[in-house]
Amino acid sequence: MRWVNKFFIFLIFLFNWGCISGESMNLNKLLPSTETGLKKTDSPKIYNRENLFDYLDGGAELYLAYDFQKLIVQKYLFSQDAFAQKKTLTVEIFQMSSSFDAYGLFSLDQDGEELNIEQKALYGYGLFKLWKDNYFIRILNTEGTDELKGMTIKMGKEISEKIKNKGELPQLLSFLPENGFVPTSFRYFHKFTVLNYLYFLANKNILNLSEETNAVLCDFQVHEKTLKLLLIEYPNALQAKRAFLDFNQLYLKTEAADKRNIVKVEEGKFVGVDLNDKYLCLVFESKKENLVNSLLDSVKNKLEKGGNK
Amino acid sequence: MKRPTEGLVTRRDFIRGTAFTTLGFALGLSPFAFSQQNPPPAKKKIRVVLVRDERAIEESSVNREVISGMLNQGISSLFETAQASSAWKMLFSAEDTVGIKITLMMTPIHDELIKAMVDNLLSAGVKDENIYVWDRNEIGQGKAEIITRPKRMGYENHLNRVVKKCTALINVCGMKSHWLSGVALSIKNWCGAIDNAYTYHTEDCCASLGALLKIPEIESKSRLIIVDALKPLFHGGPQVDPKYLWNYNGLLLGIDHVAVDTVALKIIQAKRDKFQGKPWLLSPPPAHIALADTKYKRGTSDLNKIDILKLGWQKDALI
Repeated sequence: MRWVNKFFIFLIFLFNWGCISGESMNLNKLLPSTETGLKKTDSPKIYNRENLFDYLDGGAELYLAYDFQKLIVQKYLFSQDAFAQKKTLTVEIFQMSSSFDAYGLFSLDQDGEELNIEQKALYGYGLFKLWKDNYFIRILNTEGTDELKGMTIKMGKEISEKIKNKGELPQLLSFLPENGFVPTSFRYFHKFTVLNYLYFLANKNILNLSEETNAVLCDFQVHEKTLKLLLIEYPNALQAKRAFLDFNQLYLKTEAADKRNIVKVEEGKFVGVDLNDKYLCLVFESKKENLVNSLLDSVKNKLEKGGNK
Repeated sequence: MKRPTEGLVTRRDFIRGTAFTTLGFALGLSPFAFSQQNPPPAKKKIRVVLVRDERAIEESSVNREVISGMLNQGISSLFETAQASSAWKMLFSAEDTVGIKITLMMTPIHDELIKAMVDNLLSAGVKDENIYVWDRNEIGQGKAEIITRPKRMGYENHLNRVVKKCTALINVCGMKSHWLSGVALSIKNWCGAIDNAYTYHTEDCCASLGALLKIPEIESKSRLIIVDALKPLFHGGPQVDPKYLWNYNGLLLGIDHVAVDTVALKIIQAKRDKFQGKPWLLSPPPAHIALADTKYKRGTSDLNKIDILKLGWQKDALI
């Protein structure tokens, strides 16, 4: 019997090894060719959920918060004496479990020159960023010169063309009103650590965010003022209700109204919270109560109509 | 479901200035923080030296001689010695085994700085084979292995054995913002000395990082802290977006982790405000620095109690 068990363990090992090496091979295929004259510094490095910390240390938590699957990293030299001077170009291809999560990572910082590369690509200060399907790609050149800009974008375009599928945008985007919406401010995430990075609310998870919640944070420009809107989708209405109550008690420090509450807080600003079935909508940074009310109404209407079709 | 009320600090508390008073102080938050401070005590302030030279990094070229000069100027000013060599000899002797804890990831410590430090240790009489340069489990022994760091010593009770082997430690950290802890400076740099850093990368803004300074070997052997502020990162991090790097061309030196981090934090915050042209507070708030003072009692985060000595290039010092 022991030999039979060992044989099965061996088969399982072979199967897993095949899966891993197969996936790694796929990521390898996405790497740009070296026809541009670039030279690889060494073989590419592959990271998974267990060893991502070896590459990113505390930064790994950010990718894990977006259900990271795999990463391939390849460094290139862009001149003969480059190694001595540490002038390298680094390609990072992050494979996520969904296009939503890959887009979420891309959405975290949308500053930069928008490029005509599928699905969304940006370049600025030596950093190229791309979202396509369930991949998030970063190409970093340490110099940021015009010559390297061209080379970096060319590499990014090649990667984009190798990814055949297109991914969908998170559905929550369709619930946002058009009026005043600042598109580049749209951030998609799940966990409260990411919310706190984008907009610190509390050192505890008072909104009960988790990998099961979907959330967007974005800006609205209304009468030359910027309002911040946070829209959260919970797995069910009960969890949304619980978060609504907690937010009222712990943040607004008031008795919760039935479904909507707008409270004047510090600096003469108003914070509004609105419960709609499994959705919780919050508005911050407004000095006018009616603007909070109006934005909450607009989102409520969108939710009731099922978003943009 | 348990409600997260214990120790809850919200955005509203920060705006009111009632949260982490000393942190608010360092961030330049609200007059409330100042009004709540007592006058600084008469006892001697903790010294932190900031030394800058605009020639240290010009475009992307690093000037080793200039950095070496900055290091010597900084250490002699920190310990009030006429010569830098006297300060090095005061700190380290031929009997010491010295561990230089550097940072390798994302924004690595400049090699030129590490080499200058090792040269000074050798001049102070420390034996070449008794100098270890390391991060995590990548360890270099002696000058020849500064860059390659081929040795692996492993961990004992979660602490790298190199820490146990050393009689003296130098903490050489980068200067950067960090998405989970607000900033990553000298306190957080000790995460690279243990194999369970994930226990400190917690969702409460990494509030317990100050506990690293209570690890007996780290507490008893730490002799010098140097912040490589040549090209800091003021947003995002640890992953680098070059848009948020700037040539500050500075080094910070001190012996109090909390004081050094408080000064570095103040500079990063000032850079952010300048970049946006309005207050742009670090997010999440780097509460671990204030807590290293108020909860873990490992140093001071009150700028009133810190003597900041600014040397060299003064333009855009931001403090």
